[in-house]
Amino acid sequence: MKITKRDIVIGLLVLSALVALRVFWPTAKAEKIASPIAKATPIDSTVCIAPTEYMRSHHMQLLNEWRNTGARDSRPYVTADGKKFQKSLDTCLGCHSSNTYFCISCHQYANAKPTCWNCHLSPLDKP
Amino acid sequence: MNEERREFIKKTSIGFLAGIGVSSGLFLNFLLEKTDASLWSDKNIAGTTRWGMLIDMRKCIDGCQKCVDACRLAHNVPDFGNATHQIAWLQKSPYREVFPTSGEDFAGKERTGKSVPSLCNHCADPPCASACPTQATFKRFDGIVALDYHRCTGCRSCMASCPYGAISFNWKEPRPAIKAINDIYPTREMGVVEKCNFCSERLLKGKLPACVESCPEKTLTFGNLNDPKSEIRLLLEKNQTMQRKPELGTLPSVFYII
Amino acid sequence: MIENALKGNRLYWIWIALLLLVIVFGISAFSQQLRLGLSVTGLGEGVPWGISAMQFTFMAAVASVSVLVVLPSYLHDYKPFGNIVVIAQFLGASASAIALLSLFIDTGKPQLLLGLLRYATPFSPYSWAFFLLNGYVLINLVTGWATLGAERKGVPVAAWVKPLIYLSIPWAIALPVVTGFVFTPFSGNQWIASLLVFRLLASAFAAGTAVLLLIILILQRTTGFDAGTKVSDKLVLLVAYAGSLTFALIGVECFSRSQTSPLLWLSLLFGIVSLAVFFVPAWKSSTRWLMTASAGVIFSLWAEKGALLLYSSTGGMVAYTPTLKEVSMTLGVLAIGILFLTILLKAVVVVKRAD
Ligand code: SF4
Ligand code: SF4
Repeated sequence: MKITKRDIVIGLLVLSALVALRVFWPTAKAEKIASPIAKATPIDSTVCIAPTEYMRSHHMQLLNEWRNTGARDSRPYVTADGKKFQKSLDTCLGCHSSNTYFCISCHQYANAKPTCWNCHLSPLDKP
Repeated sequence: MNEERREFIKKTSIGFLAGIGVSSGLFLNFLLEKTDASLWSDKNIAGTTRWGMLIDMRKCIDGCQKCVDACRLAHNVPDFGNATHQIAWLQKSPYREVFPTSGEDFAGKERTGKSVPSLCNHCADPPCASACPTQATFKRFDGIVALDYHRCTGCRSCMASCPYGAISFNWKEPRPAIKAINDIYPTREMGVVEKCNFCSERLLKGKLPACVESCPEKTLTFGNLNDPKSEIRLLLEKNQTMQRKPELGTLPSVFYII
Repeated sequence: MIENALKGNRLYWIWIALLLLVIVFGISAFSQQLRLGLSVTGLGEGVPWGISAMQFTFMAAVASVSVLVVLPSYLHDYKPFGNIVVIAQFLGASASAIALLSLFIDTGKPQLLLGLLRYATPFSPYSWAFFLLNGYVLINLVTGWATLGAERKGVPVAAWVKPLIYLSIPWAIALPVVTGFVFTPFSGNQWIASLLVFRLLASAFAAGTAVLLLIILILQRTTGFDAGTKVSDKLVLLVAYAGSLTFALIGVECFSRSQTSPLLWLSLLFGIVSLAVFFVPAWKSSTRWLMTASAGVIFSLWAEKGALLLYSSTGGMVAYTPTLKEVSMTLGVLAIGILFLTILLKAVVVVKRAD
């Protein structure tokens, strides 16, 4: 294979495109709020995040998304009908820990072994 | 170049492009993932946030461990009781260990005799965050250097690059070593690192960090360094303060009055 | 070609059995680590990395050697090296595989390691190292296999392989540079930190060529594959040059630090003594001397990497003694890599001997 002038020009173009991409990549802008403390949405654990049917089949997707973005994106999770939730397992457990076996009974039946409880305290671990 | 070869090259380049397409699926996350840093600035700009702390050693009582204990309790920090596997977010260590390069080798005991509380400095230019291969350690929107335990692979690059030794690793399963479990904060698991989070979970509720609250002498002052009217700013203006190893250019957000 | 791995003489099978034994020990130690955490190692507060990380740097460096063979033979059309290109490529692949596995056994949660690709971070040297090593294994395996296939059929290498081979050149140079950056926190003093990357690049070439030379000499003795005197002469020259540069830089560090780790002194001593062999005409023409000296250079540069880890990133030195489990894991990984290389080289030797 011979390296021709054309190859070099193309290579340089690709390189400059990459550099431009890096320089001009838009950075996400969040709504500006004066005090970060005011940014906090209180944990709303009084209503369901989504209909029971949906949660029954899709809670893992939702929790996965919360897990992957919750720490670095301070914005709350907004449902289709405009309710806002703080992305935290505690938001769910606010209601659902009233039944100690809420998570575990079903997981045991389905033989699902989520890693949540390696760190998060399950209702069973709490005194 | 004959026909057959040309065909081959065409096919391989299509394959190559497809490969890039697939890997962009993998990399997409990195390109689109943006940590919301809108509120943060390392410049002194009003309206932005950079949480910081001032530790006034004139008030700190030698031998007192209240802040350390409060931190342990608040965050379920395990206590292994041996130096090798020790985990600490906040600890009190001898002056010379905290300020090895402060040029005070000949200073008197009253300056250098006490043990000094030390914690993560939430550096404005944190080497730990740039070393982390998964961005598990990252700079948050309010200047806090946060850790996302979910994706930490336990590679310990962050530990190696923090010049203050502020990060600890879970060499063992931590739960059995936690004296009293605090049920409003998670624990960590074996194989990840952990460090001070400036009590971001308490800030969220409008509370001050646990150590600040626990100190009976008001040694610790917490506040927004970019807010000219905050208490910490007034103290920083009036007193001569110092940072740990300022020569490294990490720009710590934790200041000391000695 | 790979089926040749199943045929061999007695020596070959003893060698394979030995490697398998070491691997078994390594795996059992690793399974204990999975259960008990990294507390089974000698690491701890202030000592984030140990011999496994050391093996990672060393092997990432060795992997880059293929460039010293590929570059002359493809870009400058230096014919004698054409004979050992495949060997260098396979060495590159196995060494980077060892480096990767060393990272694998050294992480707290190895099951998340693939996340490194997903969350790839452009300013993290560790992230780069992981990405580059993975790519390097692939590139070298593919190009090496294609080259060998062409050689067996007696035809020139297919055109599509060439771009990959060219790609491997900057890739190989990047490897030691990137691992150098992973370790800069340990260099202690700022101007030594600025030298570190150059030193690791030079020592990579020295260590790599020494390993390659050793492999070629061993092959010569055990299989009768002869690369030719031109090749070994050239390699001897390369070790001599790269080695001199490396040991000069190590010497600079030894004599300018207020507190030098004893391992670095050991490295310097061993290095200079072994390097002498590469300069004296009477010694360098003896295979036995050359083999010993290559091993000496390899050992010395291994110690150089170890010395890095004895500096604490918070200042001063650390006390670190690896545990037996740690050693067996690290050796296990090494044995896996060598087994891999043995199988590949077996195919190479059969092809080479056929023509
Ligand atoms: S003190 Fe250490 S852990 Fe904390 S931000 Fe600075 S470098 Fe990172
Ligand atoms: S140990 Fe975890 S947080 Fe630290 S650098 Fe590695 S992945 Fe990042």
